[in-house]
Amino acid sequence: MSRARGQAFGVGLDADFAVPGLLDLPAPPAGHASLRLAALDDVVAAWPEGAHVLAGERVHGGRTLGWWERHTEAGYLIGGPGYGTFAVTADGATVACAPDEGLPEWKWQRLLIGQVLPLLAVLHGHEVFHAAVLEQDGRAVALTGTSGAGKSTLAAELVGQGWRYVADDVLAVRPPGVDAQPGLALTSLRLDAVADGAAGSDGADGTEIGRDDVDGARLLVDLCPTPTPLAAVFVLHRDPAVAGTVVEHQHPVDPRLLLAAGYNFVVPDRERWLRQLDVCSAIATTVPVHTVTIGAHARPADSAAALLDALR
Amino acid sequence: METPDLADARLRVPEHVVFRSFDEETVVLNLDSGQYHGLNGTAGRMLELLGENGSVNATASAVAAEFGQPVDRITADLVELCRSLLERGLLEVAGADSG
Repeated sequence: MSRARGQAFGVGLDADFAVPGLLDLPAPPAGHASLRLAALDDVVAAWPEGAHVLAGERVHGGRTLGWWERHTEAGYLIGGPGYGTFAVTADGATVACAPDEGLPEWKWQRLLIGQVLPLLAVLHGHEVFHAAVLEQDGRAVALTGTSGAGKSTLAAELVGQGWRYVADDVLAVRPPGVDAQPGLALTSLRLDAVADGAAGSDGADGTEIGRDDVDGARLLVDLCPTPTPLAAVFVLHRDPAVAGTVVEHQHPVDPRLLLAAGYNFVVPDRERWLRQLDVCSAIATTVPVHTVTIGAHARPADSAAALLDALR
Repeated sequence: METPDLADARLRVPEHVVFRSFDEETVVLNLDSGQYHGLNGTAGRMLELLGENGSVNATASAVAAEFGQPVDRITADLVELCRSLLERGLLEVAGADSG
């Protein structure tokens, strides 16, 4: 049986299955978790009745479950149609993973990496944000923004210019500092971006480990292996009325820019929310934050140049 | 809520409320409602001091000294802020001030 050991988002992981992109990293993790494969029937049988349904509804074996559930003692049940179901203990020490039948690792592990591991990071004392994080010369930049704002495209462009991923979709910060924790050595690209070589994909396209029409291509990439201080946060949005790319330094920083980038709000305790505010406040007061307005016809290379100008 | 003697009240920040200062704003989160609220710098400082000492009068005196403003004016502003925070469940009355 394949096994995997490594660290992602500041949490040491030990899996009884292969996890492409999971690397053994030098910095000590904040906590550890075991990932175990399990049958969905067993996961559901072990999950208590009466949990708080956070999202969605589905039926398995005559029992109605939520796609996301929280139970005070049992922890969290996370499911994604077309991916699988994961039961996370309340202390974040163990995850039972029940992939949907017949899926390759790269496919079902998208939910594991995109939602379950960030939840583990939160349970182990980090705060997480939706962001692509890249490193060059020991400094990291985070690209955040709404879906479709262009984070992945711009990240791929920067990789094409010699930057490395710290994490392709999750900024994990362990307070009191503002260092970005490395994720997995993986990224995703839209199939059209891979096909036409656009979006700087020549810099991001390592070994392709899978693809489909829903999730695009999954690629192994070079990863910065150490926690890296944030040098800037760029909050991206698109505006067709704008010509080119406009970067504006924000001072003072509107807290909503950072709060809106947070996610994994299923952990409800007071300590966690204080941590979220602490991390957002620390970023707002110590890290330059810029808004980036990307016009309809802005080229990724020009947008990247505008960002790097702001960074200088 | 009737608050004619709010200036003499003792107030506290409820357990379900957390707040932190940003550059020029304080973000207050009501964990019960999930709603975030924003306060300007002066109001944020008032809430911070209220959370520490619980006394509206003592907070007004401290803020007046910090900002070099008349106590009466600060007290009026603070009472108005407290009324607004009480309405939103971001403060609660701890008891009357006997002093």
